[in-house]
Amino acid sequence: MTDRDDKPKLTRRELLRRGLQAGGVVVLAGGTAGLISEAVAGKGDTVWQLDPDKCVKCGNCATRCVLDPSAVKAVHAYEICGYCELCTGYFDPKATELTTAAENQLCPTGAIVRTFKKDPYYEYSIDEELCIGCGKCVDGCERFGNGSLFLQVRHDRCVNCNKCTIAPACPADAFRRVPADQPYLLKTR
Amino acid sequence: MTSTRHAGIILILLMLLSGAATADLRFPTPELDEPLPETTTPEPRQGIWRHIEYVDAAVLAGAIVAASWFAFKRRSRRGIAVVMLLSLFYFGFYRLGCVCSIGAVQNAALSIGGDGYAVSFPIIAFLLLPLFGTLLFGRTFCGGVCPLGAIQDVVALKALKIPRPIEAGLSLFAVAYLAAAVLLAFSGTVFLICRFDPFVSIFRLVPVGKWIEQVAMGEAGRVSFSVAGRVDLLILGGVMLLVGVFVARPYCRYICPYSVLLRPLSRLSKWHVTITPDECVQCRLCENSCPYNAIEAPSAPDPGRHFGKLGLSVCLVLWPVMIAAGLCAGWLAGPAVSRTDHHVRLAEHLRRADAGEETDHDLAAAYDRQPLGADEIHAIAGRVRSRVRHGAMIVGGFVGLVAGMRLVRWSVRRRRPDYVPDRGTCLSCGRCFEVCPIERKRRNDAAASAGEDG
Repeated sequence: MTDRDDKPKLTRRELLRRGLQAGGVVVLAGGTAGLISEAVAGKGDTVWQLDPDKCVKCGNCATRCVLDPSAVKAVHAYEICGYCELCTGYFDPKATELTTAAENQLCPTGAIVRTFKKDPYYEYSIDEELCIGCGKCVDGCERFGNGSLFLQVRHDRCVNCNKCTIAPACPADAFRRVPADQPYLLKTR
Repeated sequence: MTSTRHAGIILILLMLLSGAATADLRFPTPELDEPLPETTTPEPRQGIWRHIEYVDAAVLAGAIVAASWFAFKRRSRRGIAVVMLLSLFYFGFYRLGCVCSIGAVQNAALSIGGDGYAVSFPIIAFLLLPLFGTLLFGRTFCGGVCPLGAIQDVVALKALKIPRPIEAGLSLFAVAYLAAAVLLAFSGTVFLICRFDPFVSIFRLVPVGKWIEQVAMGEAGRVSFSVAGRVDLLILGGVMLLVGVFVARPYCRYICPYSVLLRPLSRLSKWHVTITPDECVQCRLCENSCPYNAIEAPSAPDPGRHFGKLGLSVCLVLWPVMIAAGLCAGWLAGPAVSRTDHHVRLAEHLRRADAGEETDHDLAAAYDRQPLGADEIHAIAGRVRSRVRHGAMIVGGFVGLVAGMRLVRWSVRRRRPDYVPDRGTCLSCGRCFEVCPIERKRRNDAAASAGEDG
């Protein structure tokens, strides 16, 4: 890159310039070709998702997302749920009675809706407008229940950041890019 | 009291139901009269929004062409500024600053690093279009398209002149930043550029895009402020803009990792904007018009060959010293950098736990949930540590190499008869056009001839 130009040797300088210019074009074209071959070999568009089997319910999903409230929400795999009357994902361990009163609920925002189905079964569903993705219910359900509640990135909210801001903060390495046409990692039977 | 009672109830329930329960579930699923609800899975993006990144790439190409056209053909600062503000709105406030060309460097690094991630076509376009554009027209992308540059350009009201040695020293930070960002992205841990992007949180403060989409869909628009744990970045962005009032575009000049790629390409560019449309009359009027310190005065009379030789030889001796210093710094920084890796963090946790020290509760839980044994984790962590340390040394050596190269460049005298933009640092913003008397004459002539025609 050191060009000696004490004397006005314009032709030599111009030659050098042209040469470097051509070099630049070659490098960029090579880079383009390399990256395009990467992209062709890849599986196309990806989105962020978290693996519920790795998740440790640390609470970072609620606080580290660029959105407020977080794009991570608790979701419910109904086919795994025991429809327990005493749901440890719904009730605070310190609950004095099994009613829907706020002080008995584990959820800090009251986002879990409890509906009576038939004796002794209750259905639990998530009001995603209220859920902040803190994972308290997920922890409760997994500790004592079937583990039917789990966290997922909700793609109707997620803005698909280039690098998810929750991912580096996740202590369990649970976040990864998944193909956009299979955007969920659901729990099933 | 109550919690123990409940735990007791659960235990009894468990024992009662264990016979009936399926093998993998603690509690049996009920026989309900109605079908069970499905777990909802809202799609990533609906309809036309699904491919909006391709639209973004097209807008980017269009904006670079438009900014270059205004810079070369119209020589209009106003035109460049309009393109700049439109891109600030589109890429910044509407598309929330993601993906951007600066960050795309990391996607390319991660893709080559290979953990199953592959860059997509729009991201390749974001990375390469400005590079090709710069090779043709100089840094018109920086001056007229980049939303990060644009938000700083708007506040650059009282630009002070930064002494050249300080300017050169500070801009070395960008080299280190690029090298570190590529290293970390390559290893698949952190996207450093995104993590410390000072302006993206400002773009996202008011979700304009969401509002526009809501109104376009015929819903009632609802605007809510959103900070979401990005307070540190908002402060960083605020400070950067405040500094930017006095030091024009501080991010672009001293921090932007992408500029490290754009500078040499701009030096080689096929065309580059000129201050004057005709011959320079050395009136010195443009000298202070550049807020970015990118206009170089005609070279001073030659101080003598002896002085130049001495300077050059000192720089050539310092060059290897700088590379060695960079290698050492990398070697020292290696362990700290490796702590961004998941397995290194797990290994650290295991070491602390073995030593009976306090350790992180969540890491302990994460360790319990993964299949590897302690020895395997220590082995993986060891490999990562040594790889990262080598990588950090490459980064440090690279920074030393570039620093030395710039020093040598600096000590080599160049002949400049006129006032010219420094091709590396000029952002093609067009501010100097307005002050050039030759340019003014050209405009008056053009206006006069247009008047005659009319």
